[in-house]
Amino acid sequence: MNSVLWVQFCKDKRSPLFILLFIAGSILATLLFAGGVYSPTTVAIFSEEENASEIEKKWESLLNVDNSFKFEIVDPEKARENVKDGNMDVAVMLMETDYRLVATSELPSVSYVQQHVEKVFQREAQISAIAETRGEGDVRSEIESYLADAPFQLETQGLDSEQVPKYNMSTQLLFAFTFLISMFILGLKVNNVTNDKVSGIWDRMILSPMKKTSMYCGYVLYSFLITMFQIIVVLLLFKYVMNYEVGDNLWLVMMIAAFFTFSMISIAMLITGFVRTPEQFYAIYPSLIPLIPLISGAYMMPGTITNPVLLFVADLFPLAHAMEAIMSVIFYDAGLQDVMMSLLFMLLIGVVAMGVGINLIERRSK
Amino acid sequence: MRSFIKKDLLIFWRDRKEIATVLILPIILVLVLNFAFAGLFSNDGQSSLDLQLAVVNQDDEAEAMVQLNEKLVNEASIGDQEAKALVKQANDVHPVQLLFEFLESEDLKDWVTVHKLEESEAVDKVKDGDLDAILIIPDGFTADSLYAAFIGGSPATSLEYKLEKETNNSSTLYSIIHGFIDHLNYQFAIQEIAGTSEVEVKLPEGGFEEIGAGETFTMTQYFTVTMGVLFALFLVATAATKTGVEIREQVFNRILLTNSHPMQFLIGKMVSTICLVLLQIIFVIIVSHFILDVFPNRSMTFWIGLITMVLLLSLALSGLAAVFTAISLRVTDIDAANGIFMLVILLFGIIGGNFVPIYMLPDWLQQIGEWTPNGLFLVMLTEWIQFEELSSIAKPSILLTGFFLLFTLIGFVLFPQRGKAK
Repeated sequence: MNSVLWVQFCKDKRSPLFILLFIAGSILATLLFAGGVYSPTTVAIFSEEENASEIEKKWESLLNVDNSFKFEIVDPEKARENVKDGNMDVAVMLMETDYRLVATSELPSVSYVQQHVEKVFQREAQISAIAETRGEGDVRSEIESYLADAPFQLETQGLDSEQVPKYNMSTQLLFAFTFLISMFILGLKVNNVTNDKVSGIWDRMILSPMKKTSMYCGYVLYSFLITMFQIIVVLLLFKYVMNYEVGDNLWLVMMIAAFFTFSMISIAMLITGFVRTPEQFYAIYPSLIPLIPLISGAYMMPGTITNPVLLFVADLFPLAHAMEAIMSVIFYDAGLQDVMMSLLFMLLIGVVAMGVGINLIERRSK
Repeated sequence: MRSFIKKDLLIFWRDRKEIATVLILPIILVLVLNFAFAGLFSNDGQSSLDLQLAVVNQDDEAEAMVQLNEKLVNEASIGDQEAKALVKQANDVHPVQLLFEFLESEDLKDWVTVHKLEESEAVDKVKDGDLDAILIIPDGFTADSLYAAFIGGSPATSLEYKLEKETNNSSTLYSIIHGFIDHLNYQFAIQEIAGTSEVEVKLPEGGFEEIGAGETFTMTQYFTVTMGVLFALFLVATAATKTGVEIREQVFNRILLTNSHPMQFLIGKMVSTICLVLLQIIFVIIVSHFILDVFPNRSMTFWIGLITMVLLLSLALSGLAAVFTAISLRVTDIDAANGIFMLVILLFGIIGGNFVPIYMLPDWLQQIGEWTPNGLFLVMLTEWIQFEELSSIAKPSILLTGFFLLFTLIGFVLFPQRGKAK
């Protein structure tokens, strides 16, 4: 077993570029996408009235009230062009007291923008109407100071505690992308089985006194170790260098990651069982993998996917269980006891897939 | 020449399982994505949102007026007469009732279900996952809020919104309720400041300005196109990895012995890529069209244009396959090369907008994204679907052809010289 493990390591040591690129890829992907989650959507505003710049300035400050949207003044032609090209979902054409949304598609973001803009314009209309009837005083600041001490209040609380359970989407995305890349790494390492088969190394090993079990163990253990290396490097980097919120219970998170890795290796082994050459594996595996986080809902807020069929399919893959367990450890302080069920599920998937996979590989070789 | 193309197509034909995967998976994906997203975001009112809210009402509105009266007299030391007048005025406002009316209104009832429960029961149900969140109206809410409204200052009691986990549903419910409270406060503010609610307001008209009379670009179309292109990209990598098989099985060396021009090897790869990419994208588009009616009522011109664009894309991608093939022949470690091709494909897929809608990416990445063949194709197709104007797609078409020429040139240059192939 050790020699199989060692030979795999030597291969990677000779050309480490591949592993390093993948690790860099998972860090970059997380930074790019996780950083973008909270950045507000930019919406172009423009005016074609005579005193366009005045109107634009006035509404720009009124529209930019919260963090959900960022309204930016843009040239009318450019705004229309951008919407037309699909670079932007929507632009707002401003008039003195009215507005028009410029949009081409039925994307969801348009109706969110519409709600926001409508609210702002209605309130402004009311304010100016009051100002007209009263004719004096700063109505806007009066309303603002009244609302600062509003009579009706709404508070958020947790079920059992005062503290609101806060959910952090960037943390979820961090794990989603890390696991996505891990699935690629471990898959390519498991694929070494077919690689060594076609190059004849497999047959030579069979002739050696080595046991079949230790041969498989070598491959599995190596892909496990290298994948865990990637996960741990990324996690430590994000925890200590980038200061992401990855919870205080890092050991438990790593343990869940380890179960996930094992389970996914088994699934890769199962796919290896279906193919004959490494090239076939290259064709099938990368097209299957991006599908898993999608149906497991790893890129979206929990609870976004409600279709029962999808949920069932997602449960067949370890990613859904791993994400659920890790998120509950990080955000809801779950202990080992609470995530036991998810761990067992992943173990079950792993054992079944590994069994079937190795069986298929063995049948192939006859 | 023909025998080379035949050879490359045969290599694919041998792996029918693989071709079937590449053809069928994107269609499954399009269906899955449609189920997962389209229902959630569609504008036709058939929202799949199903929000379950428990409301625990501990407030007694009948008693509220008595409480308010006491509070006004005792705490704010308002005269009995004046207090009575205020209470009479307050009798016209029923915040709790307004809240219930709002939650059970026509607009909301399609997706919000209100359960009136006791607190302990509600907590249990939330823990079981039957309900999304609980709204508690504590005892004295009406009295305290109205007291605050008359006297000023913050109320002693506020609504409590309890949730177990922050999910899509619970945050949507929160913003619905918060929006209502916000509105209520605003109305009170207006009334307080204007002195009366009877102000004539000229409300904005709002509305849409549709750009061009173009067709809308739907999510379904987006998914169909992106998935088709994504898997076409995977096909390119596959076509290149087949070189590994040919080297291993000595096919390549035997070709060298036949004294045929080495470029024919490359051209064979390119032509087979063109055929497969064409087959694949058109298959995905047509099958999804028959299942989901992706492009309803489009003219013949539209379809011809669509197929021309797919043809251009397949040309550009065949150039990419040529580059990959040439690299495969140059490197010693073909596995590492395959892994790196995969990374390049993933990178193209991401910045070209095949994994996530392109506007989710930072600006500078979007700019780069339009310079990948697949990103360019997406931009071009978006315009074609909406406007069907030849002028708007002329430039991207030329660019795609440029990609084809550039990639092919790089492929030819990188193609190993005599005796240099590893």
